[in-house]
Amino acid sequence: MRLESARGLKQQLLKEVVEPFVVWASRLRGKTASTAVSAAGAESAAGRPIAFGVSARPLDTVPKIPRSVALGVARHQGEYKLAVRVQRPSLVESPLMQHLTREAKGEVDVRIVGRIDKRASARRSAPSPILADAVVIPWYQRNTRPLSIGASVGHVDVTAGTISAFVKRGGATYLLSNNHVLANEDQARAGDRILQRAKYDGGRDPSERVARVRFWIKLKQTGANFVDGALAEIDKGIAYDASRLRGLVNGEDRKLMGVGPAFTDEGEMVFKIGRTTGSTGGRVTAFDLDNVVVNYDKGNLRFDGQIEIEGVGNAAFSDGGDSGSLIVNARMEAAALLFAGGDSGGSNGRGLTYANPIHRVLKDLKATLLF
Amino acid sequence: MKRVMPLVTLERAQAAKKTAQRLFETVDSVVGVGITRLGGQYAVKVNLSGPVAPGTELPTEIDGVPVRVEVTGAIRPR
Repeated sequence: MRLESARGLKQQLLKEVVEPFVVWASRLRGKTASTAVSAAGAESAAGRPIAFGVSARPLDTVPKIPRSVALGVARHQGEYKLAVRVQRPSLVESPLMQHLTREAKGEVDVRIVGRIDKRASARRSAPSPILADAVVIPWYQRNTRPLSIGASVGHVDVTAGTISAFVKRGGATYLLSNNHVLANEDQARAGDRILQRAKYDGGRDPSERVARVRFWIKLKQTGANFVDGALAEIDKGIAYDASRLRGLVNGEDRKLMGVGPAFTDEGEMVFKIGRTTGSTGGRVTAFDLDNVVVNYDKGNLRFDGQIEIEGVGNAAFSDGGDSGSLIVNARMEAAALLFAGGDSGGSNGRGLTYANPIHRVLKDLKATLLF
Repeated sequence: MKRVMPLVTLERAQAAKKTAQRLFETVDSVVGVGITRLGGQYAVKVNLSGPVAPGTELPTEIDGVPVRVEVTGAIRPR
């Protein structure tokens, strides 16, 4: 194929196939190998795109997996092919490889390259030249200054969650997110460090410290919870932007307009920006939802008075890592704090998202929204 | 003669929700009981983590308020 075709195909497959596969693989961590194999077939057969996500959870519960597939362009007798480099022989026969081969109409150059080390010697370099190989990381998974609504954040011992908004309590300024993002499900100690970007996104301690967790609503194991919320005091010298809703609607910025009405009705349109799925639109499917049972690491916890949201079109409203996202209504007023979700249900079958009404969040955390 | 149902106000739906919480208390798989709308009117929504055991009868209406049951699967923190 021609160079442009090979490059175009590479970009397309990287986005549509390889990134979701990496996510899929990361989601299967902790499950048995046999589950992993059968899920591989099912997922690729269904052709469902899977968001690039991991739920906000303690880091020590997430085993590391090696990067396993790289795509590029290889030159072959004056023609170009899709170059596929895999690190494990088992991947050569995988559903992922079959899909890549089919998409490239057989014009693939597959090599097993084994583990690639930063300090690999020239002798061990790739067997044929790869001309381009870049994965675009969205802004909300990067180091973002000033701190922005929607960006990756987390306690040093948590994978990754999302910055909800900026608030005042007393004389100090805080960033708002969930307890399970900033206070590690009550495991944190007041004053623990908060990183932006979060550890899972490559956030380094101490160079990416931005705040210290100060206050959170304890997660109760008996009786009803209402809020999964925490505040982290922003370090001196760290800038933040309390009003910009970056790329919220059709890729265009909006401004946060304050706090919306206490009542959120079924059918209302809402939006959010999150660390995993970026900006998405949704529709409220239920409110005043009680007995919501959420499977935390510390056990099944009950939430009352919650809001339920489905994604619009064919997309989910949220995925793992979007915890803490601020949900705004069509007037760009704060409506709720995203904290949980499932993969089934909703009129598009892509799952439902659950959120704490923002009035209750701000009241319980004795905070005032900045905007 | 066709019976004309009175409009389901939010108050009536809230009352029916309370009854639904009692009725569904014994169903292990309930992971949410709230308010939604069906055909423009308020209704009760009951979320289940999985299908109920065969033979289990679930109400479709409580005191004239429609009930919508949906299998939402398990819910995890995100």
